[in-house]
Amino acid sequence: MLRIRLIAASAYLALTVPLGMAQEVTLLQSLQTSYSDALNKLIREHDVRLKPLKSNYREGLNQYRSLVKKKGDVTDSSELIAEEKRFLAEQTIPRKPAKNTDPNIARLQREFNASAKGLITQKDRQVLTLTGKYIQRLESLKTEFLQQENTPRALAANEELDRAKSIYASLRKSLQSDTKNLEAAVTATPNNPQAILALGTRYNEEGRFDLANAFLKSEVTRFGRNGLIRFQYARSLQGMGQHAKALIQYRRAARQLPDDPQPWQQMSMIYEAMGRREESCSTLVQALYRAPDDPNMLRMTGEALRHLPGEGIRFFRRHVQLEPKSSGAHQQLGVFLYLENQYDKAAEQFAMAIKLDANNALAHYNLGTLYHQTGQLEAAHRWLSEGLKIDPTNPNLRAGLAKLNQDLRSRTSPNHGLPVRERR
Amino acid sequence: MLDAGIMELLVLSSVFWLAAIPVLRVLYRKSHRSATTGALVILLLQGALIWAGVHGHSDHLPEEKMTGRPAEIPDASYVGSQSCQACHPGQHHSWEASYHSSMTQIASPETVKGDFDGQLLEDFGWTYRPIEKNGKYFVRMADPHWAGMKGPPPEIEREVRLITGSHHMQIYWLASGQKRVLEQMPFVYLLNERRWIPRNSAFLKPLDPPMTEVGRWNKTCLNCHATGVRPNWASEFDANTEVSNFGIACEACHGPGEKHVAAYQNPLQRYPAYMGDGTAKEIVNPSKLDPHRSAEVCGQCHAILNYKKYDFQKWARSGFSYRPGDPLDQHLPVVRPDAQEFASSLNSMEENIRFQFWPDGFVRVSGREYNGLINTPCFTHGDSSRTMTCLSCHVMHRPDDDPRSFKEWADDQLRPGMRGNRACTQCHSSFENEEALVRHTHHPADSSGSSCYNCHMSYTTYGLLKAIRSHTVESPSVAVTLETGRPNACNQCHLDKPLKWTADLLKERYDIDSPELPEDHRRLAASLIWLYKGDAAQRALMAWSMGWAPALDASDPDWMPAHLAELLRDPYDAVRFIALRSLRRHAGFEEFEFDHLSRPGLRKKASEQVIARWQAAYSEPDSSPGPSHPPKRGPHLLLNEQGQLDQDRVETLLMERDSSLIRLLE
Repeated sequence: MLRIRLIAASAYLALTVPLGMAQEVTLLQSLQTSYSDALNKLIREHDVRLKPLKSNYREGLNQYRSLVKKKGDVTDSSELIAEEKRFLAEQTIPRKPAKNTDPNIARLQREFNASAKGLITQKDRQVLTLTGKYIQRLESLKTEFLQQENTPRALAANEELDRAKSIYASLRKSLQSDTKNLEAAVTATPNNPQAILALGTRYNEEGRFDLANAFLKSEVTRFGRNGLIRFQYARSLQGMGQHAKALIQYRRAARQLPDDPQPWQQMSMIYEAMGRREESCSTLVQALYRAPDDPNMLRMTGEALRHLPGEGIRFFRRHVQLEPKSSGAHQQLGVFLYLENQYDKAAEQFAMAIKLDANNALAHYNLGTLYHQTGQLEAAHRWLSEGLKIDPTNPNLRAGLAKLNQDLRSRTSPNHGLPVRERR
Repeated sequence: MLDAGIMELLVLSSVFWLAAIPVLRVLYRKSHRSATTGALVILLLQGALIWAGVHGHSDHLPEEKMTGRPAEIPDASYVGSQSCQACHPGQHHSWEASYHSSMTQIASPETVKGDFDGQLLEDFGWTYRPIEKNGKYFVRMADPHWAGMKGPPPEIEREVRLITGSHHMQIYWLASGQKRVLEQMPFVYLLNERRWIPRNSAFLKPLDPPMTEVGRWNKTCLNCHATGVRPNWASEFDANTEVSNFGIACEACHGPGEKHVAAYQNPLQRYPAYMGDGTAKEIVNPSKLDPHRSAEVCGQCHAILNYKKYDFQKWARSGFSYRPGDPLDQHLPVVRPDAQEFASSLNSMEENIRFQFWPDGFVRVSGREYNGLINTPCFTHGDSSRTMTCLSCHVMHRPDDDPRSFKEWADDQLRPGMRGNRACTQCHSSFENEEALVRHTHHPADSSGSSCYNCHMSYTTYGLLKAIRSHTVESPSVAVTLETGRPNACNQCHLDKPLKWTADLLKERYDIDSPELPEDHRRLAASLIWLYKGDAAQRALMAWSMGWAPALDASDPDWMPAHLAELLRDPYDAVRFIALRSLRRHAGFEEFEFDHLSRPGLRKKASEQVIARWQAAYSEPDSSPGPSHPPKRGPHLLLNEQGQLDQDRVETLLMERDSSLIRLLE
């Protein structure tokens, strides 16, 4: 599971890292590989999880029961157990779910199907998002290749684009069909908070915030103590841009889900959007408190403190301590150390980032720029040149090297832009 | 290179052998065997001496050679408190008994109070183990500064070298490995509670991960927690800090003593001075200064300063230039709440300064009483013969005729009798008359309501995990409360009353006009509005008030646990800590088990437990003998007629909570 997440994350990063065009050419192959890898693993995981649910009704019932128990609906659970026992006493267990004439069992089956589908919703969405981002990158690549009049590469990008679009379309179709199932589940069992939550979540994931809001507004009153439904309601408000109301609902959700980092994380995003950096950092720290070893959370908290790099350093340092082999982690720590004028330590971190990933053009650029700014022009030349070999069309590297060459000629002290931070 | 201490041992060892040669020769002449035995004995003795020398070596290094912590070395002007002791043993003794003297101490088995028992302390995934080895104290932790790429950070041990605090908590400072620079252990030890808490939890501030602050003592703490400081500061990692005394020593208040010592070393000068009017030369006695200058001596530390206005380069060499008796403003940039531009500039002020004031310029944090005093009419009225200063109520050396123990006196260093109305009747003598007092207070003379302090110096500053009396003397005002959010004395004691009740009484008794009141303040107990809707500092004050004995007496406290329950899940660690302490003062909750630093889910459970337990006890009929005393109920306490908590109303109030960030840096 963790590995899949890591691969998905790295694929995502690979897709979003702002690199130059020429590097895209060389990266196309690796993009395809990492995308396919992440996608296949996500889908494989779906199959693994769905197989027993589809093929073994009894196990499905057990899973549903534990799901209900986990949510604390004891009455529902005990009814379910009683019905299951009756069902098991009356007949032999079919290998596959047979058509059931018993209306109670049929109802349970419907509910189970809806919940089982709800379980996979999140993963489907991840695949869809990943594919969407991949398509965006491919489209921009194709445009760039066309501008360069590089027909073979444009054709290659186009071919890959078609493949990605077809995957996207089929996924989308399947998701829409899931939405209909979820809507049917809510109609069939209007008092089932699981079904309501699944549908509300789906609407939000599809970006249909108005619909989610209209649907959840009454449900959040009915299920006032259900923090998960309230969280989705807050998400719909956030999506509609009603930040103040969303903040109130997230606060209530945070009270109801005291150990869950997500409401705090969302609050942080709202505060960030409102330009209230202090509150944004503070709420992010609350999220981090609830997931202290989450490297992503550490990175976000560090980034949120970009106006106070001295404070941010400790989060990036912790990130490095948790993921010492992550080139990106060292690279980001280096930037913050640089911003705090700790040049030697920053250089060490950029060097480590390069050692861990020799193709990290950004770290090359930053190390070169740092040496340039501290007057070590020869060293700067070495790193900027090497960076340019990795990414020959990178405008930052080109500009940096041009300026450096100018300074080398005049041997004057340089002073141009800061190192570039990796985008989230 | 061998250091001087080891060289000294080698030289001594050689001398030892040279001295032993004649003895060995005598023994050799007697028999070879006894000579060999003698040589072995001498060898063993020498070994023992060297062992003792090496192991005791670091403890006995001269201060000049001490590294890993600032050195305690008198300089040309600051001679150190030990120089005062010979002539002023009584004053020296009472100073030693005060918490001023132990504000900073060198770590040793005598001074360290924390449990260095190897227990695991954890915060945000960072872990620390305080351990003790051979009378020395260490903290074992993953290297906080490590950022390598080969596996997890290595475990390191840092030695505790200095301690600050000796009254409420101890903060431990570790050798950073950089010259005399210290770094802070991110956990502090609470002395009363006998437990470790994250350092950030000891202050009223939002949740924050731990940080071993390198150089903080050398840059900030030393200014007031040591005497005669020379920061010799170059950077966080480069400082050769020296002080004349750790702690707040004699010369912090009396000024550098070198000239005074020089003048009185000669008995021909000393004895005439004893016989004279007691005015000593070349030294400052704050009690004999002009009242404003006198208060400024305390103000050098007990004031809010705008450090950004100070010449940092000058400080880095020789510390602050202020010396007792100097006009404070000429040396230190005190933030003055009475300055005309204060109100208008409050919002644009640097955040850390702004947080320390209520919106009208009243001080909000403890330890900054000078700012409170200078905003008080008793200080500003201009009649120097009646001007209130710090020394009007406090005394830095316990008087000989004071019946209290040193420990009791040291708590607040108040003059005898100054815990009562005597503090005010020194000037306002008409209130020595009981009838006049009752006529003024409308409370029985012996009640807490007739205590001048309780109405005019109420608990509206925060510090040390409790509420502390304001040092600005003021009268209760509903208008000011509404404008600033600062609780007034009446509602801080009568916790069950709405602001409307106070406004009506102030009108009736003192003819003070009532302002227009919002609906909530007409119907709901003011304490609950602050408790649910207030910012973190207001909540902390209410949490404390609900455990304050006079308030419990005045407000029939049965209803309070239901509301303290909410504060057990407050986002601020300090608020939860205070709420728990207050809750345990209520019947039925004395032994309530709860760790205010537990996970949020457990806090929620604890809060629900309190409400359930309170509900069970509250709905029981009163079976105690005597007249029936029904528990207080009603919507003004958010309780319905059945005595149940109105959860919906509580939720509504919570949604209106002032969630703005509060950072009260004491």
